[in-house]
Amino acid sequence: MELFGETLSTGSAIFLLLALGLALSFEFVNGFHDTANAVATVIYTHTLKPMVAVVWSGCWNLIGVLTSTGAVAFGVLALLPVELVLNVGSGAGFAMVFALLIAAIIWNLGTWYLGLPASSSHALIGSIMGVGLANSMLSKGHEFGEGVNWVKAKEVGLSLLISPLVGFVCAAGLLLLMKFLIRNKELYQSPEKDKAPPLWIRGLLVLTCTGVSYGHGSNDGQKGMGLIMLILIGILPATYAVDQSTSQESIQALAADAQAISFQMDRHAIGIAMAGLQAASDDLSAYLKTSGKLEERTYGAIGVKCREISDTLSGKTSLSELTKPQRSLLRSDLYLTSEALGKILKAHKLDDPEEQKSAASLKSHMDKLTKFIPVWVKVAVAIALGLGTMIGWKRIVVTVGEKIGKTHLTYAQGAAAELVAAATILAADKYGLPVSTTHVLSSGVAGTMAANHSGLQMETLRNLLLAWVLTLPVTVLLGAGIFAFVLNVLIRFGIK
Amino acid sequence: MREPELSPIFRRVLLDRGSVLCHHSKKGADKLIMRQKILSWFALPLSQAESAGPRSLAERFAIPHNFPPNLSLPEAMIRVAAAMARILLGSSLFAVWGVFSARVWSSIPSYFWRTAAILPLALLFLIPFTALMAGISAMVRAISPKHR
Repeated sequence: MELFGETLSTGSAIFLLLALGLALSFEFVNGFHDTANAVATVIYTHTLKPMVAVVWSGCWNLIGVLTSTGAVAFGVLALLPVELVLNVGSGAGFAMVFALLIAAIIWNLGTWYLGLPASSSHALIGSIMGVGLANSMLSKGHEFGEGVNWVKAKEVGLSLLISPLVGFVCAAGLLLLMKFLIRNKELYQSPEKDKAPPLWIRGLLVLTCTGVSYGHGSNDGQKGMGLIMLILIGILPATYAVDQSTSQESIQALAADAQAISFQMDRHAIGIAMAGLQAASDDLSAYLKTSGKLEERTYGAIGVKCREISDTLSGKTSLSELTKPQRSLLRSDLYLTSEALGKILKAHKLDDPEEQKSAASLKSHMDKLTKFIPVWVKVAVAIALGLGTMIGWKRIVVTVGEKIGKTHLTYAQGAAAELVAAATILAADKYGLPVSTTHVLSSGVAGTMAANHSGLQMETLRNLLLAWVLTLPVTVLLGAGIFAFVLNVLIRFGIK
Repeated sequence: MREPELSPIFRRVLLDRGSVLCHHSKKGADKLIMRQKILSWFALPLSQAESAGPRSLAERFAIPHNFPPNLSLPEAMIRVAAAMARILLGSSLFAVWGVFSARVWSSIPSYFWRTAAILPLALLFLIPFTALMAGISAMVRAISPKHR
């Protein structure tokens, strides 16, 4: 049957729609959890009516998602085992998609029903690591832990760990600065029951809410977009493997860069005979594992792949001129070569500055072809996030507004915490790092409470920390367990 | 300085603690607090009336009645299971409906009839989807400890 411009079997079509439904459900649940943080202060301080606030936040989330670069989306996907990313259409690929989505959704829902501001980002990353670990345990010839990109995991872990501390310290500092610069008493009062604050305070709070909503859309929305792209590339490789709207100039520039790099790589691998394309793929896959070592063969494999890419693209005016299998193969070649070049560059293994420059330029050209997100995916994710917000905001609003500090949140505290949260999320977005909106905002509120000498409700802070500490281990276990279970079921049904 | 206004839940926790501390030594009181806390995880939730209050039509839309606040652990587990059932069964229904609709759509040659088929096809999803959601809600109400 015809779906999304490709002919699919009924089974594949059902799997595709089921996986899309689950990915959008993840974003919907993410809306329960995270987007509510953006509207927490404006609703709690009676600055905006709940319905107006969630619609306003939903609109800015949409804008944030639509203008996002996709860097975070592909940063999250880089945590997945390479062999599964390249074979999403296989049984193990299906199991991976289901396991990481279901594990993250279960934890998000559980903590939401108990009113704990746990992080959706931690949940997703934990389940990704769980899938990677289970894959390394279940696959033959793998060492335990090999399936996880530990370098990327460390990078992501650090950003998730540091961002709440940044939120706490900066929000506290900003509140003290505001107290010094703005001497208006109204700003430092708790909201009165059913009474809106003065107009200028409302304006300030709406502005900070807008910033957090935009930042959330541009960072958190990307996690769902990345998962949807993974599903689309796995099941509809002919349509979504490479960006078919790429211009002729870009295609030719990539072909020329790849040709030039292939000569440079060959110079590092003199006397090494490469058996062929498959051997080159195996060498690069082995190098991309955590335990992978850079050898002369790796340079040779990159050279082989670059020549293949250059030959495929030479003389082409559009990527639609390639046959469907060629497009799938091109994607695998581009992905492996780009990731391998990235790892080499990060390890500073290229001494010649000219070589470094051309390798970085080739990587950037390759990423443009494979790391793209269609507009309909962005719109679908934004709608799912917005609907989640409309249903689930209340519980987190109460936690943020009343349960973190011993006194209720003042207007200035709300503004300071949100301003810092928006800035932190947007800065992380720029570097392609996922951060937790929940933790940045909650720690921001806690920081303002500390700076205000309001005192902190230790019980809630303990719950927050508990959710923070437990999220990764629980979702790792859930992800690994569900992956092993689904894989077993698929193998029993003869799907490999 | 303004007296801090406590939420009903927090006020209740403080009152409970105060009464316990008046009657026992510190060590005994700590033990009792811990026991009460553990029991409270499994107890029925606090009265919904305490935190809900009157709501506008818009708020009623934003907070469906199937998400009452202050859930105990067993209730939260039931809600999570129900939400997962909604997600998994809803997504499965969407997948089956999507495949069926794509088949019907591609078998209609006329552009006019294709356009005319959009509404019936949409209803064909919405009606069973609504029934599924209502069925899960009814099941949750039936097994929820509060309603026993």
